[in-house]
Amino acid sequence: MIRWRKLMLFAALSAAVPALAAPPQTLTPVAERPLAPDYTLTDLDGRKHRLSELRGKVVLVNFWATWCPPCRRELPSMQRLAEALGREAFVMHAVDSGEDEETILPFVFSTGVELRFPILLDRNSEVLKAWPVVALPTSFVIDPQGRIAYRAVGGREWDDPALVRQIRSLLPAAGQ
Amino acid sequence: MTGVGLVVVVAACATNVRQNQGIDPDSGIVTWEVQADGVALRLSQILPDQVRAFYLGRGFEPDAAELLATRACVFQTVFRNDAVAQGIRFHLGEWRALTAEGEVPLRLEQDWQREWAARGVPSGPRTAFRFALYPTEHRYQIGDWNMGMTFYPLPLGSEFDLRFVWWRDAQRYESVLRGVRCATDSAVEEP
Repeated sequence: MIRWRKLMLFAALSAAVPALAAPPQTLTPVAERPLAPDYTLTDLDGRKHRLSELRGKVVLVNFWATWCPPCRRELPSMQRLAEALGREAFVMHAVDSGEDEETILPFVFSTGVELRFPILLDRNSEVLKAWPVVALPTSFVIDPQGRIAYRAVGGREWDDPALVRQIRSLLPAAGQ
Repeated sequence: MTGVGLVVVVAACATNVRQNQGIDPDSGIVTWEVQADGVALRLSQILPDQVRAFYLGRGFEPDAAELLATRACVFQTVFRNDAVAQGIRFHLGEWRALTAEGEVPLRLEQDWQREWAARGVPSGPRTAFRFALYPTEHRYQIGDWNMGMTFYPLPLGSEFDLRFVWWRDAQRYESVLRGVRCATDSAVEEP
């Protein structure tokens, strides 16, 4: 019964989303580019990922949860972004807040999209609390120096050309 | 003695306002939406049974979930900055439900957290609760938005207008979402 109720809630909330016209796709530059708080988190396959080991690359850090409709909605476009920038110095981390594998895995399989970027487990939301996150989803684009360059509050269509252009502008030039 | 400063804030009523309403044919859930001077607000009913299920799933005890489902009207809320280039900020403490009996402030996260502290609700569910609610205050650059629950301490089935407020720099703006109606506990039949 509880499962049915959950499904009904997700369906109802998600169905309401397209009612509004598509919002403008933008990333907000973060003043003075503060250093991103470091973390080491484990992904769904048990591998550890440390943010500070990714210097020299651009990193999209996305805070999300399975119960958050706009978070769920933007994941497929994140996969398309990962594919678009797959040959470049770009990494994506989807940091799930407060949930475990038993909750996340069924959702991942239900998306109909093979999500090939790391989904990291922030089981106690400790990383979430260390970052300037007020609501989910919130995303940050980290420059090759490990600084927060852009912020996005709310869901985005991550493969929108305007966003891809903004992210690509941070990438180190080839050969550097 | 220092002089007493008087700050007068003149609110600008939004001038370019469009409101519409829709019903999800499957669930019967009603959604109200208004666009006003570059921002958009949408409220969708959440049925009490959905509220119970959601918070039970987040680790709340049944009595606490019951409190959330029946002590207030709950709406899934989306507020967006679609076109205000300089950005906006808001604080839900300034928003009011306008009822026949008077103005009613929203029940904010801090109000609920006091209740959870008194009941000894663990930190995990309390964190989930924080992020499930619409943020109490935030700044949105153009394109920013959130979705989350807002709580109105009114009986289930109540009708009200919602006066919502946002700021552009030092200028206060307000508009009204009219004819909002809380869901009732009998709106869903078990299959």
